[in-house]
Amino acid sequence: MKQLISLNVNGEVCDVAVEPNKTLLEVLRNELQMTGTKEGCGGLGQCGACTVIMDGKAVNSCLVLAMDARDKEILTIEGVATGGKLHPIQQAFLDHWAIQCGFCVPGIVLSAKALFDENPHPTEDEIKTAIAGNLCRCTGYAKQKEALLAVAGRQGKEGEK
Amino acid sequence: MRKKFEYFEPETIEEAISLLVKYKGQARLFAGGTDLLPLMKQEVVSPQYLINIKKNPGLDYINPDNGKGLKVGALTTLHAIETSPVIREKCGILAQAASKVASLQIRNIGSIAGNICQGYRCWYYNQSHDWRKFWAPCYKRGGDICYADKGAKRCQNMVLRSDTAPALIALGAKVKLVGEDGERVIPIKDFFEKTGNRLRGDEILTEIQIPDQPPHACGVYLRWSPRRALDYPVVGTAVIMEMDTENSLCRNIKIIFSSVAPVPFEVDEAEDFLRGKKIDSDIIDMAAQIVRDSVATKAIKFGDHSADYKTTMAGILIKQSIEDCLKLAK
Repeated sequence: MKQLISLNVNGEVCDVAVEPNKTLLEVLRNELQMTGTKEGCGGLGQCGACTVIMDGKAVNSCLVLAMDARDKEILTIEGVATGGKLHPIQQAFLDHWAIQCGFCVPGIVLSAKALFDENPHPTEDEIKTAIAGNLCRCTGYAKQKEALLAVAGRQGKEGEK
Repeated sequence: MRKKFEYFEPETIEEAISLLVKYKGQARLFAGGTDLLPLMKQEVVSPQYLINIKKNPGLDYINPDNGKGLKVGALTTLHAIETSPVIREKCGILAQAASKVASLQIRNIGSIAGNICQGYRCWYYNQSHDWRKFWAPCYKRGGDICYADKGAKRCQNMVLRSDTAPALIALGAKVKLVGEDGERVIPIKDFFEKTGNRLRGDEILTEIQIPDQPPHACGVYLRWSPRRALDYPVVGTAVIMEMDTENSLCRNIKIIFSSVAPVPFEVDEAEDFLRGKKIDSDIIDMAAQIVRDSVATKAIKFGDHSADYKTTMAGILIKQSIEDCLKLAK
């Protein structure tokens, strides 16, 4: 039976009626029409395209039941750019040609944002660990790593890896 | 998920247990959900009742146990364990094992109890319903064949692929199980049987108890998988070594292998060989051969990885583990 729940998405409170078997991913895309978050692997938590930030941590929204997303602060890709201005991660992805088809990008941007929000100067290994759960079928990850290293460097000492 | 279920959010363990009893066999506990939800989406399991135990306060903790070790609450996330300073200091092998699981996204919501209690995996059975329906049913689905082991006369239940289980076995950890008749604490090495874990239908794993380790013990967990993230381990190795560094002697050693066979196992022969010996590269090579001989008798093929391959990898991982322990001991 459907239940009315409140979700806090990108700072706004939304009320939706959901069955308990609906995941946060399905509610974001189907009820809230926020299609920036993607489904890439049939909802098995194996690709990271559905990554959102929940209470400061990157999670696979395909593995979060909507019922469990109540009382949590959720950030999706739609909430990353603010005041019409791209986030430094997004800008770096453009500057470094880190986008081909773009399908993985919302997930990677959010995984990276969760990292940078906690640690503005991550090492290369820390960056790799943060995005290890995000698959990209187009780019081979090199440009994305370059873009994220640039963001890490820009926020800290130049040339530091 | 196509199938619907009734959903509960009990606020106490007792309430959760009474729901498990009331809906015997048709209910599933829902913690992190990173094992259960994919199984439900593939229709490998289809519970009619889902019991969300995350609303229980107080199952998420890492506490000292009166100077006798640590107590870890069942719902502590894998990420909390991987980053916990006290776990890294007192039982670093568990932090290493937790850090290797899946991806950061999964470790942020997956619980330690869920990783321990995860369903054993079969390369045939853990596929989507739509994929499986093209094959004649296996034993588990009421048929008369095991696709994972063609010669088998019954369901083989395949392999526990947990990373934290072998580390906890090496640490000598215990698990607390709470059910309708009360609670019991059993060594985690006895928790895993070939046909599944020993959790009864009315029980919940609420706590993991890790004893203090000997003062000069060093632990290393290594695993091999095709990719460095997202894959289940093909071979997992947990080694805890207690060194007498002055004399380079191995005082004591625990060697546990996992994902090779249905349940993790200890390689007593290699432990007996290494105990009391001065560790050099010849000794390590001989120990690796003993490990390979032991693993070869137990390893089973899983998907693309043959028993031979797993045996070879076991030999490589044990050498690396011992060398890493030696480095940590210095």
